[in-house]
Amino acid sequence: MPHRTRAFLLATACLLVACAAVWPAVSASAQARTQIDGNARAEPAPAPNANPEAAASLQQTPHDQDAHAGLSPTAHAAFAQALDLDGFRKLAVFAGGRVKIVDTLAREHLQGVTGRTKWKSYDPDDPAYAYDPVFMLLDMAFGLQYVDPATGQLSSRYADRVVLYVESTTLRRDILLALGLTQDDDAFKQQMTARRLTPRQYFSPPVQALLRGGDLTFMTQANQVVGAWNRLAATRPLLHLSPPLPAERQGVAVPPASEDPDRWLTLDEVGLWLAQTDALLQQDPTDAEAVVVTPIAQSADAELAVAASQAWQALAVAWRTGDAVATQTQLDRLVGLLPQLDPQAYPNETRRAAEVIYNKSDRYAFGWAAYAIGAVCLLLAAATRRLIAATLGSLLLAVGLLLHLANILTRTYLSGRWPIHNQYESFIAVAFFAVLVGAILMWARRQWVFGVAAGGVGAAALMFAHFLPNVFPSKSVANDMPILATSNILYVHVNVVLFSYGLIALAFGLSTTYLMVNYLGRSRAVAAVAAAGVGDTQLAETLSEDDAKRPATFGRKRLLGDLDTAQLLVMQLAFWLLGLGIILGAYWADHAWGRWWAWDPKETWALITWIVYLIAIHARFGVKNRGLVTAWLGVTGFFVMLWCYWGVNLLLSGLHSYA
Amino acid sequence: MSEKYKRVKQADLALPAPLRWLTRAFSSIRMAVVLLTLVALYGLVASVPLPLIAAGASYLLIGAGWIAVAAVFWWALARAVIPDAPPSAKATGYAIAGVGAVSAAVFTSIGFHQNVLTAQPWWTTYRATTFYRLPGIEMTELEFYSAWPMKLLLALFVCNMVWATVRRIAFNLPNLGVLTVHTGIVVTAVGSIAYSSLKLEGDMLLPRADLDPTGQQGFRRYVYDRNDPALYVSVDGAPAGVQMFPLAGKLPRYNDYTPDQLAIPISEERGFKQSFGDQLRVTIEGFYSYAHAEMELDLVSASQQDAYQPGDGAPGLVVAIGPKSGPAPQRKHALRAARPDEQGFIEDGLLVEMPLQVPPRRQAELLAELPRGGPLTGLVVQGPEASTPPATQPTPQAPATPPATTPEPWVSPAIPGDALVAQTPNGPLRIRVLSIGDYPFPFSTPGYERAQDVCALLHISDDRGYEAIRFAMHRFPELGQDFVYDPESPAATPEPPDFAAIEPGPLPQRLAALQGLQRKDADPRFRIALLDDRLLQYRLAPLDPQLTRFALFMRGRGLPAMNQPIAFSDNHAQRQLPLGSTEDGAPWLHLVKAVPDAVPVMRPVPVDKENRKPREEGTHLHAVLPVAVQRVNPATGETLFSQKVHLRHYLYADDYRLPSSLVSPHVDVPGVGRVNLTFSRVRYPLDFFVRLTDFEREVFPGSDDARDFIASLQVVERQPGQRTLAAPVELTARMNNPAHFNPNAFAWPFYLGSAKLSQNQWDPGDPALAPAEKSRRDPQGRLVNQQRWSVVGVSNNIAIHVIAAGLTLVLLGIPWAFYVKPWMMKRQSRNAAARKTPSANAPAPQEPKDPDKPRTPAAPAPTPQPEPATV
Repeated sequence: MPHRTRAFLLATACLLVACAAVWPAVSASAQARTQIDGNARAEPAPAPNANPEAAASLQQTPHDQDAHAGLSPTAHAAFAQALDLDGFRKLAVFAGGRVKIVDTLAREHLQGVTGRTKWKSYDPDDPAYAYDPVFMLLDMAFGLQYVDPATGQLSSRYADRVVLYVESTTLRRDILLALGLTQDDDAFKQQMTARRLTPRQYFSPPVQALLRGGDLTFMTQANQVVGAWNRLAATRPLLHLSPPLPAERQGVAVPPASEDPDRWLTLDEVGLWLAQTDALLQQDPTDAEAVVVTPIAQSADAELAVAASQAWQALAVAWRTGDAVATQTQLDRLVGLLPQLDPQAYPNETRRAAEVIYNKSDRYAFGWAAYAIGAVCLLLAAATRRLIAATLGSLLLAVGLLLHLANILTRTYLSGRWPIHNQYESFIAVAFFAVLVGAILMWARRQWVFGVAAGGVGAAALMFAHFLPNVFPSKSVANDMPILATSNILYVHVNVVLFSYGLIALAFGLSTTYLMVNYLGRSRAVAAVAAAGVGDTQLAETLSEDDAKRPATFGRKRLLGDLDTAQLLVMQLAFWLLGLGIILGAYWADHAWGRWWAWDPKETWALITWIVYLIAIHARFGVKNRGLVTAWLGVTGFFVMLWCYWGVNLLLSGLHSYA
Repeated sequence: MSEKYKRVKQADLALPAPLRWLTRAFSSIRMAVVLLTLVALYGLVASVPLPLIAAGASYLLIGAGWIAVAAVFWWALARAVIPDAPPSAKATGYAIAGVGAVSAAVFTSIGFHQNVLTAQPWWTTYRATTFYRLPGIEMTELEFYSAWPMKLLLALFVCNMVWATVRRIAFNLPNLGVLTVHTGIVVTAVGSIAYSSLKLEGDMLLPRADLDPTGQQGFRRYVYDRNDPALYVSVDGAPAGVQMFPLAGKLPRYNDYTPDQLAIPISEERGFKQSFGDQLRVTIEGFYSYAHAEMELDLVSASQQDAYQPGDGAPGLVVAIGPKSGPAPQRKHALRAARPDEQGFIEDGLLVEMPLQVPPRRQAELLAELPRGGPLTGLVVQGPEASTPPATQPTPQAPATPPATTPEPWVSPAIPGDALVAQTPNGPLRIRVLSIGDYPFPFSTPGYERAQDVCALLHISDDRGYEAIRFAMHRFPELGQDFVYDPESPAATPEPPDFAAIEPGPLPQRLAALQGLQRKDADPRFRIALLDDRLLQYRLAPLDPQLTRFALFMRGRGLPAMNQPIAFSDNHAQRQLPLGSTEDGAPWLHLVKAVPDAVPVMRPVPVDKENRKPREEGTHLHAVLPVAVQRVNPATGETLFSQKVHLRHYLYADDYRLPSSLVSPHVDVPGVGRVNLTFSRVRYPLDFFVRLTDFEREVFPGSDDARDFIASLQVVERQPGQRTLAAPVELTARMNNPAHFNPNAFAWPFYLGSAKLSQNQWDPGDPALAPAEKSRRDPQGRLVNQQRWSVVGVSNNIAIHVIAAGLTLVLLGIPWAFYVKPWMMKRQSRNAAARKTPSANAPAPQEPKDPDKPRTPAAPAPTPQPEPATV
């Protein structure tokens, strides 16, 4: 049987099984729809609390009533799979101070609520389906809290879903213990692993009491959980999908939809504005007390807004019933309508498409693979002197560099600024500078060891960004850091310092190679590899021959000399650029903070880093083995730089806390 | 080694011993390396908290240990196990050992950190403690960097650098780079000395000119120093006015000091006696570095001399709530039996009271039982006092008993909406429960002013036609009130109200029903007390004047009401009482101390170290000064008057809302007058006036995220040599973009350079205000409830241009030394070779060895073209 035929039959069988599984829920849902004209309810609501005051207070936490409303987990997953969200994903939305696409907002939102950009149920009985973040965003918007038309009660699809991320292990344990679980319970172990809470658990009195008290460290941990709930609760008001509306409708002036005329609106706000303006437009023109409106040119935008608002409301109803066809229809309507509301304010198609690619590629972080394989190839080239390895390594290094550059340029395009405004951006920039300089040196001097060091640094950086996303709290594209927007000097200062950090990382690679050759390179084989790495093919060939007449140390010394020259070249440039960066920072600090040098921890450690290289330059005068001392100081300087770059930010407080 | 240095070294070696050592040491580069290393270590100690340094040292030791293990493994592998193994096998062994050592070091360090370091109490307590915060040092970060060890290191380094430059480096064009760098460092050092000696930084609080309540149109001229504290003293009527006594270098910053550890006699400061006479003594007797905003009420014996607030003594008890074991919790409550509003407190569902005595009717109420499983609120109704014979007081041997002949009080559960009929000695009383809640009004009865209570709002009526709305109290039944219809009352409605129409509901909404009714004391025929067993209640009535025994009345939360005598130990040592549960970790009531003649004193409560905001530690923002104010006989030294006050820190000594007024506690000293004291920062007068004419918070379009803060300022100074004012100068200070002002006559301390005026802080408005109210604007479009003031930083910038010149020299010299000099040296050698050997076939001359640069970056060797298949 041909492969394609087998795959087709398998897919058909899976579809049939899925349909069989979903059918009871769908038919029940359809039956419920015919009865209550809106929202399906899988189970009856629990009995109301006998105490009227307590019941009133629980109204504020919707999860205590009708918690199991909505679709069954299987039907929910089938509904999610049935929808095509690619068009909606590319719609623009205003959030976090900038216009972005829905896909970006969804990823940020889901990350904030659940700690991941894709969610799947933690209940072993539920289908193991990783939900699209856009689907989850809309599902949270429509399903978190709504009034069931049948009962008039607040309902929620999320009351018992394990969605609220609890980052701290200690707090997670305390919460589960407060909920009455013991450490031997399976439920305890399961939720400790899931690392998430249900909203019902979050609102239980013991958990609320627990989250209220504690020291500063505890409050930081508790605030993360409270923040996750607040984000979840604010899902629907977050969707500012409509560009600012005109102050006109049907040819007459109407009150603006918002105090700020530039503010984007939610489609619920648009609906409210339409209702208000309807009342205005329907007033009797002969009424002396009526608001005077001035006829102006006909605007199509407002009528499009009417249609978009209606589509939004219809989408909400269709979504809650799980009607995939009706939902898709309304989604497609919105995809067609919203970009036309204000084409001037709406971002163009190219930009939105670029943002989708940027998100889907995880910001081109997969370039780590090109770097890593390239570095290995260049190492092999150094060892075997095979042209194919050198060519492939150079090519892959170039590919990695291009992807790295694509990350930076796309981010620049999306944010409208050079991306060095937070830890993520500066980290990517540091690595890029290191790889760029390493690649240039490699190609200019034909010394593959620069490429190995550059590829290693680039691969480590992008792997870090790719596999440990939570390390960087600011991965999202955000507005200008206000402090950076105050001066071009500050921009130059940051870039120069980051460039110098990149060079320090590169020098670290060279110094490490030096140390390896120094301590392990007494064998000819190792020395030959290193010699080829620095481009000395003649020496490499000589060393690789079993020439008993030539002492092995002859070639090794020469090799160490070349490595020393290479590390010194990079370190000198790093030293000067770091000094330049520090002085530019001092210039700006004098201007902005009124003091050129305040011994802020970041300043202090930048100076200490500089001093390490100052020592490296001066220590060479007074020692016999200059290269070895320089190499050790190069390694030391790298770790001091790492502490300055990361440790100071994470562990010490100071004026550079944003850096 | 340069030729110059060879010559100089020979001359140095001929010098006598001490001189020879000195000049050799200061010519040495090793000394520079050592000094730079010490500077780096100084920075490490100054910037990294001590626990982190300890952790770092631990990780290094762990890493070194594992590397040593790996080294042994390597050695054994290479020498003993596989001496003849092929290199690839050895390399694999080396790699495994290396990766294993690194992994083991990482995992051991993580385990050590999580299981050992963070488990230590000091890790949490001192996690933000840097070296300069230790007791005995107590400096700011800047002060520590300006301390003598750092100055000494930098001075030695500069001397070393200058001497080594003069002795070792030839003064020629190729060496211009290194000479420029070293000159730049010296220039920077000289500039920094002037800069740090004369630098002044401070700030001023400016009200927006249109909102200035003082009539000064917003003009201010005082700047408060950024760091240095000061104590302000004035005596009403004294001609000296307000005197400032700087405390920089005298007052601690980070640690607490008790009176036996600290005594700063302010009255011994220069100018004090001339200003306030020789009878007044002011002494700072301790220091609380970081205390809660609210002080704690404590009790001391009235006979003690150190009483902060003299007064009449009364029986008092200090209690605390916390786990049974360990020391008493820090947060305590002081109860005094003398006044009802000092008798008790309610906290987290617990009521603790110390009544002076419990009369029989009150005993009957406190011991009245509500049915189990029913509502936790109820009513007790009793007849007039005369109908109740006295009850026995409890003794250690026997609990109190209700009077045998007491008519049984009527007791019933009660919740809003209930309609009840109480049987009383005066006949049946019909009761409708309208509401139960916190008593909504402040008490005005003397002694009860600050008390809080829960009340029931009742509609009562009897067979004699008496009808009223009754407030029945829980803690203070004696304060019950009736609201009755009195046609004679001026506020009375023409028609009597329909009491029966008042529906039960929340208390605040029911208060409208009282309109038109006349308030009067509760009808004494019916004493009604509310039982609120939602609270766990402990009442401790003293049984003897020495407070060694108490009658303990307990009830609440469904527990049976009971009373029993308890004995406080003879020495008043701490005693604990369980609060419902005796499980591990359950809270207990700690009886901390009993004072028979207690007077209340307010004491600061230090904030636990782990709950302090690191950036606010050491700023004095949360500091409290215990200060003793005394009047003494200067001839005999006898103390004629003594009182202590606690001074909180004020950022600004003068209240910007009140012209020329200090925010100050005061002490009335007989024979001296009212002494005002303010703990604030050192204040400098400016020779010009500044005012805030407008303030704007700029946001990103379409969002509420702040982008900039803009203060519009107006600066006015006097005409040079005249008393008239010059024309005002308009300036704009933005966040991180200050305004500059060059005054005509800049008096001390800003006697050099220009002043920078920077936007530091702004008024975000009261967070409790509703958003609409917060963003309310006046007819001119100005915000009324926010952005009403700004804190403007003021600083000078002496010798900054000298520093800038020095740093520029450093920047220019480095590329010369790194790149121009090698190029010049190569060019020189090429020229020399060309002159010496014109023949092209002659071997290339050796590059002259440069003593100042060990190895110049070699020109890239001509790379042979790779063979087709190899590199």
